[in-house]
Amino acid sequence: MGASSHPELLGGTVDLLILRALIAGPLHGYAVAQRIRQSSGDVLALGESSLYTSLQRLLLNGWVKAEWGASENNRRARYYTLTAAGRKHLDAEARQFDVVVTAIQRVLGNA
Amino acid sequence: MMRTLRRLWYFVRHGREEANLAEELALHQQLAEQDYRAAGMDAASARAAARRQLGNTAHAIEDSREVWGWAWFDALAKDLRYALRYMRKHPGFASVAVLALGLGIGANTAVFSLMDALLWRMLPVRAPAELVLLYQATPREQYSRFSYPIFAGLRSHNTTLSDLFAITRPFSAMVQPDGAAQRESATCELVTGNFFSTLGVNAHMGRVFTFGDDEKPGTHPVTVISHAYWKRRFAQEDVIGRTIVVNKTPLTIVGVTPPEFFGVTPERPVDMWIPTAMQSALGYNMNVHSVGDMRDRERPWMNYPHISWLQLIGRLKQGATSEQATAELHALHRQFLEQYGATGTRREERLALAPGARGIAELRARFSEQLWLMFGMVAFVLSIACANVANLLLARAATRQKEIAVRLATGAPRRRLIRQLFTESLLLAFLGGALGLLVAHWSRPLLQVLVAGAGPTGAWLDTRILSFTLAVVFLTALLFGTVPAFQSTRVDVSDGLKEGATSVGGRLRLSRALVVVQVALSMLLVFGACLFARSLRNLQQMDLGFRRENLLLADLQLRGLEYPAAQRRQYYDKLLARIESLPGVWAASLAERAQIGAGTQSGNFSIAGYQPRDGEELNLAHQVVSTRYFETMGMTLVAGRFFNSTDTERSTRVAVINESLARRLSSKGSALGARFSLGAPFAPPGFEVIGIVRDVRHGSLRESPRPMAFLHASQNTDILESLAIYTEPGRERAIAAEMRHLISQVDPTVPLVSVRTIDEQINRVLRHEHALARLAGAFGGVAISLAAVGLFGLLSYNVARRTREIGIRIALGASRPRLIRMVLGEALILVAVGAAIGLVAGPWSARLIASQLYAITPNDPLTIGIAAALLITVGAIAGYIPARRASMVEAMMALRE
Repeated sequence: MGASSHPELLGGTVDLLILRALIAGPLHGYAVAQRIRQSSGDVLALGESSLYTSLQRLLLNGWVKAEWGASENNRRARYYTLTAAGRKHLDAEARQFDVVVTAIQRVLGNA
Repeated sequence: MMRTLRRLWYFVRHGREEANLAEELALHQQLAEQDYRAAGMDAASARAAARRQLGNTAHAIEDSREVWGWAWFDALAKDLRYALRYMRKHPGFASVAVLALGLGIGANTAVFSLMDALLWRMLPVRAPAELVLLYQATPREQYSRFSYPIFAGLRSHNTTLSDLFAITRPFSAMVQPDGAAQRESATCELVTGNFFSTLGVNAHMGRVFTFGDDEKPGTHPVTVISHAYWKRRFAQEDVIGRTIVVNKTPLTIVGVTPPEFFGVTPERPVDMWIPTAMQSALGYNMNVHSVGDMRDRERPWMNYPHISWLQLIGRLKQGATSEQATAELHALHRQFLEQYGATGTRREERLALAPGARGIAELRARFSEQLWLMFGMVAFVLSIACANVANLLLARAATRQKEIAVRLATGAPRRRLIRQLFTESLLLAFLGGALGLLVAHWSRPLLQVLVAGAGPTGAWLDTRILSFTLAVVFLTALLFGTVPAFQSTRVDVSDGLKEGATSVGGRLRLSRALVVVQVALSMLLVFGACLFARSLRNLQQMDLGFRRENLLLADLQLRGLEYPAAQRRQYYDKLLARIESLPGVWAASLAERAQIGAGTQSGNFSIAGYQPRDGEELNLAHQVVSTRYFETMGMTLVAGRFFNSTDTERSTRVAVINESLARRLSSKGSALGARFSLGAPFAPPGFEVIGIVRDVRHGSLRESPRPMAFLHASQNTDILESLAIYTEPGRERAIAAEMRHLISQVDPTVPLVSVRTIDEQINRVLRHEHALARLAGAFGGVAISLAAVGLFGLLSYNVARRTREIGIRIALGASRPRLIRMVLGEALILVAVGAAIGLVAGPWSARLIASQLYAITPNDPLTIGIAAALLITVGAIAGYIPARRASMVEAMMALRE
């Protein structure tokens, strides 16, 4: 049984953002949040609850892998790595997202 | 699939996963706090800000739990509720399915539990993997018996075993606990004093033996009893210090073993353990191989190096390998054989070790084949049950077509529906499994008959068995649930919603295929059952070489009575004269043991003036009999004469031999007058052959007759305990009834152990074959019933579905017989196709059971015919009811519907 759920727009977007943040290499949870905040010019600040829930969902779908390592302050931290399936999913969803966003903009522009 | 696995993985270790998440959140907070401080906040406000940003930890954990688990459980609970509601609404469907599955799963569980106990399970003792069995192998044979002096030598001289003990095979003895009115049978085993300490088994109550309990012959009247026996016979009272009379010898109970301990023979749990030193006091005389003077057999065996009667089990020392132990023990054994002057082939023997972790099972090989056979049969039964339930599900899918179409139309994903249907299957399988455990509980004693009552009795259900049952439950759910789940959700929504829709083509084909599978499998089982039944018949009717009517057998017990040999002979004469004087008795005689069903006694022999070729082993079975034994048994004289009154203690020692032995004694001419002696080399004067009888069966029925010599009671001192009486037809019962009284008249101290007719004796010998035939018959019966129900269901459903068509046919003038033929024809075609597949596969697969059969080949045409006829008859009956129903359709009613 393959991937399920039609996550609401927001949920799906958070997944997408996380996957995108992981393209450059493995990151732990806090670093993922930091990366997203920085690259969005401080516009998108993820709520921690939705960040970790999303990470769990990505794990469940096999789009990321988790491994324990040491953090910069030398504590145990869980590093998430993008898997091949995750990369494929990211590509597909990003394309889909473009279509949706373009469509929404067109609607808003017309109004 | 992977997703499901990951989810299961999470489920199994969700505790740790949540701890992980908590740790991640803590780290997150700490890092955030650091950043705030770096940005210039003071410590307190940095912490507050970090905590604010993080929100509620518990909430986050709960959210993640939902991602992994809760949603899943929720859906499962919903599916289960739905499935239960459906079953409550259709109790008929549910009960047939659960019953079929319960029978199948139960039979499998029962057989598995028996296989586990007999074939795979480790002994419940300390470090069973260290145990090794000792045996001796020649290029041709294997012996597992050793003499006591050799045991003692090996034990005290080796350096590789931490200890070595010796045991006999478990045997039945007549016992009488103090206070009991009658003697009863119990399973005893003679063991050396270090038996329990080597195994690491301590007493549950009282004490176990020490080596001091087993030193001098006849001086250690003690016994340790098993927990099971204690529970069964003594209702767990305090038994320490009580006495049990075993074969006339009173023994004191000194201890009870722990509940899980049954001895070292899983096939035969022991009730009482007795020191080997009590061998001769108890009159134990079984399973022995001796070379040399047979008269030694009446003295305590403990002292004789040439009497082999003990099996040896050692425990390897820590660090010692099996190879080291083998090399050392072999050298020691060789040295002792030289020392004790062993001769002939025994010198070639190599001592070898086998793993002892699962105990001794001489019959393991034999049982193993039968258990696997049984396992195959029950697997077939379960497959038939699965096919049956799958068919029920398919038929039911037809009635639910509309419901499913509605749900698909309203946007339920197909995957969701499949999952729900599968949940229903799983629920059915679970209920079947629960019923199966009950079925297993009931059927296990029946199965145990098959392995000669072997294996543990009583509690059998544990986590191993339960896991097996659970695995079977999942497997069957997959087997019968998958195809119907996919098939019934493949609904064309617009078709499905139409009134009286009939998109049934694919489903019907599948249903037919499933019925054919059921018929083919039951054909195999029925065919197997027929083979077993006919093989049993062949065994029952075979030519034994002696009479099988009007013959009574009785066992006396003279061993353990202090009867000198001369007095014993007087007793024989008196007893036989007394019996022969009874009206209705034509002849009576005594022998060492019953001709069949009481084991055999065999040994080497040598022929006067003949030097055996290198490696040639001359082996014969022998038994000492009284004068009229041949007349009583109805054996046929081929040449020479039977024993008569001229054969006395002082005349030439004579023997009557069978044809097989005659051929060994003289390749040309008659063997009459030839001389041979027991043991090797030839010891004059030996026995002179005075008569030759036709070959007779001895011991077991399956074994073809082997060389055998009958020796005369007046010239040999062996104890004769088996009485044979040839009676007037119809008088057996009356004479059997008088026996006990008569024997106590002749000598009240001699107990009569049992009386039975030759028929009863043969059936006892064949009880194992009886059990196999009965079980195979029962499985065949279940299989054929399930197949018949399946066929009946399919045809009924078809007739119901085609009511309108049938109505039209009637309206157009089709006669009722013609309609019956139409439906019956369909039934018979299905049965014929299934039977044909079974017929091709039957003889092929029956080769696997060839070794269990007697005088019948797997492709026996008569058996094939019987099985096919049986199946077609059942098929016709199953088809007739729906056929009749079709012919009763009222044209107008059907059309108006």
